[in-house]
Amino acid sequence: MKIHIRAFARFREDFGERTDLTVPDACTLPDALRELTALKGHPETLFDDDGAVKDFVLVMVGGERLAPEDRHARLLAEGDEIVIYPPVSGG
Amino acid sequence: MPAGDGNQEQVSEGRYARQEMIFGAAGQEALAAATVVIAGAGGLGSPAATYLAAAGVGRLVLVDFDTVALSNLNRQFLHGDADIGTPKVASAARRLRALNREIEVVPVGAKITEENVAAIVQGADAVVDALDSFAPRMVLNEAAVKGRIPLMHGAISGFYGQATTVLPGKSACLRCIFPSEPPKETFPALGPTAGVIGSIQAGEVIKYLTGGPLLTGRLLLWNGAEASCDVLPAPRDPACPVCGHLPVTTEETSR
Ligand SMILES: [Zn+2]
Repeated sequence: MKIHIRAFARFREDFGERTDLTVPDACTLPDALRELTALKGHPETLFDDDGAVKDFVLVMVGGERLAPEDRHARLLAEGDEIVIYPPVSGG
Repeated sequence: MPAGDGNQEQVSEGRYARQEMIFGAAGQEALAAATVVIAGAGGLGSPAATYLAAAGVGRLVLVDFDTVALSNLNRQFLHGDADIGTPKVASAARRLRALNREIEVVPVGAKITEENVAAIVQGADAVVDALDSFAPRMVLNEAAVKGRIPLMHGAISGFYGQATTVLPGKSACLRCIFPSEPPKETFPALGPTAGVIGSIQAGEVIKYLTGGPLLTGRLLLWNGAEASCDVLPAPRDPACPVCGHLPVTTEETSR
């Protein structure tokens, strides 16, 4: 199935603005993001040492924010748009 | 009379004449009657406080514990070379009073903590989050939610910035949107990025006080590297440990 990923702010420097991916059915959110880093590199940008998506990364699927604890098992559907954004904290 | 001016309407020359064209004398009175707390007198606090002072917000409470360093001056225009080593709130208050003698500026040289935050925001009509790391932001967010005080959030790093407005109980709070804090970093900082975001925060305060649609339930992302802007939906989290207990309302208007 086809999904796409939109990156914002400094994530665009690593992944570009939009990536269209063809992934197997039963693809989870982390699977899709691993596909992204397999294609574009920079896995350390998104993943902890233990392979989980970093908690502070804001992740949305289909316009809905996914809490850190709901990400690992989230199954994607055909046409899903994933948004990834690294919140900034300076002032 | 110079040629061409014959048909012009008479224009008031008062300090606030041009903005009263937007919200009238009643709006100006609302600004003059307001107390706004600005947490942080740095990159975001400089534009936010400057525009709120110039607009005639009656009482500005500036909170910052830091002293001015040379590396602040590329963006923190409330301070200058002569202020290095002195409290930021002192130079900021001096500049703002020089800008508008009709307002009251209250400098508070303190770090925001769980112990002092309730007293700092007490009586405020709005709070501007112009802080530079997430931990004190979350302390401020919690106090704003407890006091039901609107919070205008902004943050920057390099060319990137974000902003949202929190109306406690009506729209997402910072904990709803950012359940997990980004790591503390020595962030790159550029004046124009702080200028964009700090100006958005000041505009949100002014609209809240005078009436107008707000940046609630949405996270505005400014990308100065591309000169582009995106808005992500940011709904309330019913399980939010900070504001989840407040009843859900759909009303997201200013007061
Ligand atoms: Zn909340």
